[in-house]
Amino acid sequence: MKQKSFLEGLLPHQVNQQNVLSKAHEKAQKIIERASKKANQILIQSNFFHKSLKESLRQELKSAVQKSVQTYQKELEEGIKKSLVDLEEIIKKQLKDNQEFLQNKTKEQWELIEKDLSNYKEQRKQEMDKIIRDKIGELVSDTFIKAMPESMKEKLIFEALESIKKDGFFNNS
Amino acid sequence: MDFSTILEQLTTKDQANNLIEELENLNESIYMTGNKFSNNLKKIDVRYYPALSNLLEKNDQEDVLKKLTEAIKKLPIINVSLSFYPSFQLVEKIGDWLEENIGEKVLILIKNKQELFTKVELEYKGKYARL
Repeated sequence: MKQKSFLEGLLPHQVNQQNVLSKAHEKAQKIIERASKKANQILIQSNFFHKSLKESLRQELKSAVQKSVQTYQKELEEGIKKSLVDLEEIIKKQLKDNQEFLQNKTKEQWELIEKDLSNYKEQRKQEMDKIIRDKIGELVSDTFIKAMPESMKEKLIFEALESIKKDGFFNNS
Repeated sequence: MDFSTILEQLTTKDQANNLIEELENLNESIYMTGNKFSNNLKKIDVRYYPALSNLLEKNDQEDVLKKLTEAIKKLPIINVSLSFYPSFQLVEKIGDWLEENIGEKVLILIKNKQELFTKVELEYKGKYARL
């Protein structure tokens, strides 16, 4: 058992008061320490919660953006794909139309060329026939007609004149 | 006015054209100064000159030239197509034959068509014959 000090012996009520105060102080100190510790814990938890919320929001936002980008990409791809299909159809149709147009035009031109060629051949044939006829005429004229005596020419003409006279050629109609 | 002496001298259409041209030149020189008219008259073919000169002395010159030109233009024409050119003597013979057998003066227009060979084509007053 603890022995009482000299002062304790002289002023027992003061010593007791001192003890009470000391204990109270000690107790208060402990309360403050616990409160401080608790406050720290709350503060840490709050920070953690804040960080967690921020991270969660970041993740949500990231996810939403990714989803939006994916949707947009998908729609864009589908749009492009559809446009490409449409464009392909348009090009195919245009090519087909152009091909038909060219075929018709070529056929038309070819027919014109054939016709022109045929006309040209016919014209050349007629020209050649005329040249041949003229040459034969010249030949006959040179070899036969020019060599014909004047008396024969005269006979030829007057026989014709007498003949048409008989047919009434000179009669007034 | 009697132009028969002049018209008788004409046988071919070419002769008639030449005479018409000479008459036109003469007509243009009637009122010209100097001896242009008499000089042009001297240029007229000798076959027509005496008869024409006589007519011009006795009648109004402008009237003679105008009426003679009209008379020449009125002469009927016969187109004779042959494969050869006949001599002038033969053409004159044809002219005489035609005048005798048709009963009027006609002018001959010779056309050369080699393709006729020994055939003869005739066109007269809208009629056509090929023999």
